[in-house]
Amino acid sequence: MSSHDSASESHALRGPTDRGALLDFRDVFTEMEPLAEGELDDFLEPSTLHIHLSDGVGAAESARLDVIWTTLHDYNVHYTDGLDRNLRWDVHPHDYPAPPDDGHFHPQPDAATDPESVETSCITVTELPLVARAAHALWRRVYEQESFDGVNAVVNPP
Amino acid sequence: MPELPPDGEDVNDHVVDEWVEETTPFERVRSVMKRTYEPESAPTIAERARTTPTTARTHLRQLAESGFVDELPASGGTTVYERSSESLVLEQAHDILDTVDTERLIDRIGKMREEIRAYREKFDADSPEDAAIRRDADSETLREWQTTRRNLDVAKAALALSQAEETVQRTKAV
Repeated sequence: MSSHDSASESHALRGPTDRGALLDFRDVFTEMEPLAEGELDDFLEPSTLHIHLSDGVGAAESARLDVIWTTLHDYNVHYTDGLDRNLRWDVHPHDYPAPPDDGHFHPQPDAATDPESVETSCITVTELPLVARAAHALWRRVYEQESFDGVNAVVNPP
Repeated sequence: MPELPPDGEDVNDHVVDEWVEETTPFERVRSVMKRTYEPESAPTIAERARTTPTTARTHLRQLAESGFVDELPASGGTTVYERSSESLVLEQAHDILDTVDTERLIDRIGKMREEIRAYREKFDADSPEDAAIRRDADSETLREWQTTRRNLDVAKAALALSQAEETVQRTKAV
């Protein structure tokens, strides 16, 4: 049921999907974001939380965040938009030579999964309310500046 | 609308500051514990909730009293805390009953049972844990099996809760 473009890579998530965590993520994000509405892909047996955004970055007219969160606190937060641009912040074990940690980032425009493209994730907080807030802050940053610059930057370039 | 991190500010520092400003220590301890399924010590929880061990301990005791968390003895006479499974199941059951009626719930429970049966047959194993040990099973499929099992059990609890509530109501009316 995964809508990800890199099915094999997302296999590394550990633990069952945590329905309660998906609802928590929805609540934190939608409370902060007037453009957002959240829904589970299946109310009783969800695999993904869809956060629908009624506008996208730059020319995109709509966007969506797809969130998977497991009971062992592995996650995917995947941005996709009306112009089919994708990027993803992940935490789960992976086979990439870098980064050494579970946290990593698949950059736009296609949430690239080749080892040279995968970066360290700028999201280093781990508590769900903080990850949801960080995803929101990054979304707002790129939405308001109308470009993806700094979407995974710890510090904006000078 | 929360403010954006100013240019150059680390997004992590920004959201931690914001979280601490906008919530009380009790709220943070509670939201951290809401999804803590393995026992942890008060100092660890305090660090996660951005508060002091003393404050965390006070709130953990309150949460234990209300049944939200379980208190467990650990080595060296210390105490560890985890989310109460009972409280977690009830939380999810209530969320489901707010939206789904009994008929649809029964229907979906039937479908999830079918799915579990199919996994058991496919892997010739009683549980995803058995399947993982006994053969080279695809880990994503085992994860889906674990997810379905978890959701099935919560759905069954929701149904039992709704039926028990109905019975209690009916008895009252006689």
